[in-house]
Amino acid sequence: MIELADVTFEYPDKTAAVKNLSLKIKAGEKIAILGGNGAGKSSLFLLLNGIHKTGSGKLYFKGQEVKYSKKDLLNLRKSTGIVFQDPETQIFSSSVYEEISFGLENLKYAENEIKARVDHALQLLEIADIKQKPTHLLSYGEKKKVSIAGILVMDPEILILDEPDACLDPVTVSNLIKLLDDLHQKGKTILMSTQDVNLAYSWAERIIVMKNGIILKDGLPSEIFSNLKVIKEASLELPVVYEIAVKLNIQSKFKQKPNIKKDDLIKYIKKNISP
Amino acid sequence: MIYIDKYAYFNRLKDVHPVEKFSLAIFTLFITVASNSIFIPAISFAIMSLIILLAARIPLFFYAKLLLLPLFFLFAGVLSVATNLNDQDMICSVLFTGHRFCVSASSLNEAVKIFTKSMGSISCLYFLVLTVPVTEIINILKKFKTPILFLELLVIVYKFIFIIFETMDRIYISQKSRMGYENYKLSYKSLSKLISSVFIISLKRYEDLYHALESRCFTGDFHFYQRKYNFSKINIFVIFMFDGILLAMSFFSRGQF
Ligand SMILES: Nc1ncnc2c1ncn2[C@@H]1O[C@H](COP(=O)(O)OP(=O)(O)OP(=O)(O)O)[C@@H](O)[C@H]1O
Ligand SMILES: [Mg+2]
Repeated sequence: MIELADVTFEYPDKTAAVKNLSLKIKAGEKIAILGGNGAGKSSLFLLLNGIHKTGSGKLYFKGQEVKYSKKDLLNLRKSTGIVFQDPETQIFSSSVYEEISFGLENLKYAENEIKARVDHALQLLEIADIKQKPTHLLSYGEKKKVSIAGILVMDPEILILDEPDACLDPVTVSNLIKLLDDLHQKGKTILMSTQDVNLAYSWAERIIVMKNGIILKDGLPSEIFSNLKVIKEASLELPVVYEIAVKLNIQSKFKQKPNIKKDDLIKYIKKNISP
Repeated sequence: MIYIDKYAYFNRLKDVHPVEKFSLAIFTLFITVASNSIFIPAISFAIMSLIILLAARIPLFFYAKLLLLPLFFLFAGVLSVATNLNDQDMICSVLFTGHRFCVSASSLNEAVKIFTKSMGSISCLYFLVLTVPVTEIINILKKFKTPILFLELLVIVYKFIFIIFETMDRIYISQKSRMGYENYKLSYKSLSKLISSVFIISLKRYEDLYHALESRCFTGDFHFYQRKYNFSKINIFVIFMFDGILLAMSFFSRGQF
């Protein structure tokens, strides 16, 4: 679906945020990107959206090289929606309704279609009650929800979320995850960066660990967390359930099954430990 | 103070058709600027202020603060127009730093004219800014086939002003919370730091914002959601009557007042 081939990207001040990175994302995947502060997650996302131009290396979208022409970029951005890490940088309009409809207006949708989609997004994120408020008076979490709604309405094939769980209350996060799972069921490709290993473990089907602009490891969640060296190097920690399993040496019982899920572990623990 | 445009969305006239408000502001502005009297701008100022305060229900304190802003510059300008060095037919004069500053009847008249004209025009513009969201102004200008480049520039400059104010506000709060303004010396230092960093930070914020716009398929042409408004026959009638009377008055009173 989208592919980076040996891409290096430097900021104007020569900080290499992404170094010789290759990454292939297939349609319908559900990927979490883990990595400490400054690992290059946000920079990677801006590369995938064609906002940053690859210094060396190439970006492919649906098998075609993205040449950074106006047409290519529009095509790419139409299909890849990115929710920025900081909603303050994303929110542009003064009213919530205007903000959410901004992308649709750019794509010149019909007025009633826009209204239907915005109303639907307002409902999904449960922010219909703040739709009349000016955006600069919203709380940070509310801004975050508005910025997510602004991307959801565009109905992109690939949804990229940069730490969507930061600053949201637990109920909202779990609602958001349900929403993302729904979208995934409908065939969307979802890419999410997060600092929450527990969330990454329970949600993702594939995890990419980054550090200093390179990919340390890319694989199934259980592959990632069974590699303690990588976890340590990337300044991460083990998911709570997984850690318990390691302490009880349970994960070794799953030798024949490479992809141990959170639910598997919980089931096993329940079966063997509860009286 | 930063969020002038908040009122554009929440005033009592928010449901009035923007074209009506736009034409009232613009027609009155033209008549005020074109008039050669003191009387006409004074009427515009009075009526516009009354509409802003009573019809749109903008708080008096807020409006007064807004007026104070240009008044500061206006006084400097008016003062320099009113006074001349060593005028012949002066009314009064002041001796200051060895120079004789004189005020003549004609220069005083000119100064008062400029003053009322400026206040009248400012009240028209404030009426526009306080009751019509900028997006609606863009939509209207678009209908008049204004070049897209100009509109993009308008929106971006507008947004940038807010970003600068907001950044300033944030830096100030952050400095204050860390005792940046405890005494004169510290205030001086903090203020100089604020001024030097506000533009750099604003530029970075602006760049990030532009990235976010681009990622949502923005190509330089702003398309804003257009709310449905209804024209009101009464409003249109009142606007035309008001501006008609004002125009007639300025026509018949040319140079009289
Ligand atoms: N505009 C910029 N100019 C110069 N350097 C930058 C810029 N933005 C980011 N960097 C640098 O690039 C590196 C990667 O930053 P990036 O924002 O991609 O990290 P991240 O993984 O998203 O971190 P976080 O978890 O803190 O959001 C960092 O070292 C950062 O200092
Ligand atoms: Mg980041």
